[in-house]
Amino acid sequence: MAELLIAVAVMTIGLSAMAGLVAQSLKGTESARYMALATTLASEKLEDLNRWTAVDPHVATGGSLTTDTTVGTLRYYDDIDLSNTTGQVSETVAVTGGYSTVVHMATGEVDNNNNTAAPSGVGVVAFHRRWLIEANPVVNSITMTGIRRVTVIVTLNNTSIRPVVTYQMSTVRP
Amino acid sequence: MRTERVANRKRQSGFTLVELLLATAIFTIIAGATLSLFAQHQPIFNQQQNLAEVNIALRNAVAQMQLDIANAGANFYTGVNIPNYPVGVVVSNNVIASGGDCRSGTPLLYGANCFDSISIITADEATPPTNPSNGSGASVAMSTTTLYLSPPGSAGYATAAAATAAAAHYLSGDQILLVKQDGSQYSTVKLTAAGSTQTISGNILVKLVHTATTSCTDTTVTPNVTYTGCNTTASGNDPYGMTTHANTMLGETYSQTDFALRITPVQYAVDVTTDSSNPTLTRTVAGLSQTTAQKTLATQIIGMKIGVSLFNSTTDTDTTIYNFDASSYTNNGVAAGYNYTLVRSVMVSLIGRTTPTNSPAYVFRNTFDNGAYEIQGVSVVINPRNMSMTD
Repeated sequence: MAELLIAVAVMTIGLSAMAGLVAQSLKGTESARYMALATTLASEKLEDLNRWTAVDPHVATGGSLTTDTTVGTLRYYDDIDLSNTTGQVSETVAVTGGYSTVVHMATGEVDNNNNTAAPSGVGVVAFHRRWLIEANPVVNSITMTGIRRVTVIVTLNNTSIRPVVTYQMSTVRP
Repeated sequence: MRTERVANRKRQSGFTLVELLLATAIFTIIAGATLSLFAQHQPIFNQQQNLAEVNIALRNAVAQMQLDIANAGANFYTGVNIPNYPVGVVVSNNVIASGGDCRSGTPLLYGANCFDSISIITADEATPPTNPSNGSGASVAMSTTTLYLSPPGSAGYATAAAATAAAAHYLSGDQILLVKQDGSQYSTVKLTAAGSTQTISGNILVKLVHTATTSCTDTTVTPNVTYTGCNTTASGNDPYGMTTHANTMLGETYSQTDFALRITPVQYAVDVTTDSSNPTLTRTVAGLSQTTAQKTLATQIIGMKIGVSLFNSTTDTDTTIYNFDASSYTNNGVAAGYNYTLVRSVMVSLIGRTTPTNSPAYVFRNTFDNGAYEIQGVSVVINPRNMSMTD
């Protein structure tokens, strides 16, 4: 009887471990997918900030990677909402005095609205972006005069995904 | 002696029937629970794998578009300092009215108007820019059907061999872009014959025979404004849409200080005619022989919309960041429909889906059309580098 119980115990542990492995694999796949999206969104924001001329206030130094920062009417953060079920891509970017939201629906319709507040991202995959623009950044103890370093951090709002999905990327520009 | 035999028999015996039944029962319960767990994981696993597949396909497509769009306007002015790039990307928008739906039928099929398309205009790097003329050193109107080319800054080619080599770059069906030296105007024509050489007044030139441009009128403004250098009447003359709508950048006449470029545009569009149940994102390169498989960038694409941000001034105050209707482009509040010179960045919004399935094991249904597939969207912004160099 003792042998039997030991065999059962070993089998139980083995099967439980396999089940846990499958669950872990699923989590990993999900997390990787969100990380890939975060990478794309970080790249998108850097490109978006790169289109402004050097004298444009949209790329004035400021912002933060840890808190939502507003200078005057200019926001250094925004939100992206993606929906896996409704087929909707909603991108909210900060503009002077509010937000501009572009909603692309699977029906082919594109809504382009200006809002004073960020729309809620309930029920969808929501990312939050913050960016920091630094003048004359110091790299390896050398001051890079005449350029700006733009750093964007993208975070998935859904904190139940572990490890937390967050991605940071930088570029330099005049 | 008997007691010892009994003890030996007990030690050597196997499981009793009760033990065996008990072991089997426990094994069955545990195995059943584990298999049930696996069975529950299976659909989630498939769902994740399918979404990952869509995600990878979208990312690949986006990466290719980033490469192409970033280089829009490349090779226009090789070795020449030019203040402005007149056209780098051309966007064709299909605007769906609020509450409208581009899909129809049961199951829902995606129509061509569900998608925008974009053409990225680049000059062929193997064909050097040339100066256009009427053959006698004077300017030439694109409303005629012949133009002559000479090397930049020269009245003609140095030798007949050089001219023949230059003429060999031009084939019937090629698209030629004419641009003013200051980038202030452009037009396009399609060659109806291969390039040839001709000597006029001692100058060895390349001769091109082409379609003729027409005039077109912008009826959206009062009073109406008429432009020349358009291709609004014969759609095949400008398949990329650079000159198929009236706009302020069009011009008909070009001189030996301007440039003629053989262009090799890259066009991104979604094909719904080959298989209406599988809208396919294609990338078509002009002048390149491509099979369907080579053109295919991603399958099961159910949405592609292209918005652009437009240059207003060095300090932009426009709060409408991306415009998804080329007819309503504005410049500092003034109507500038189809003026692609103003484009400074391009927003591409793609929606892909997993392949719809009839499998009864696939229980997921999306919430917008109850289809047996999942959705993944991605949105990217790309700057055509050449278009903003003088801002």
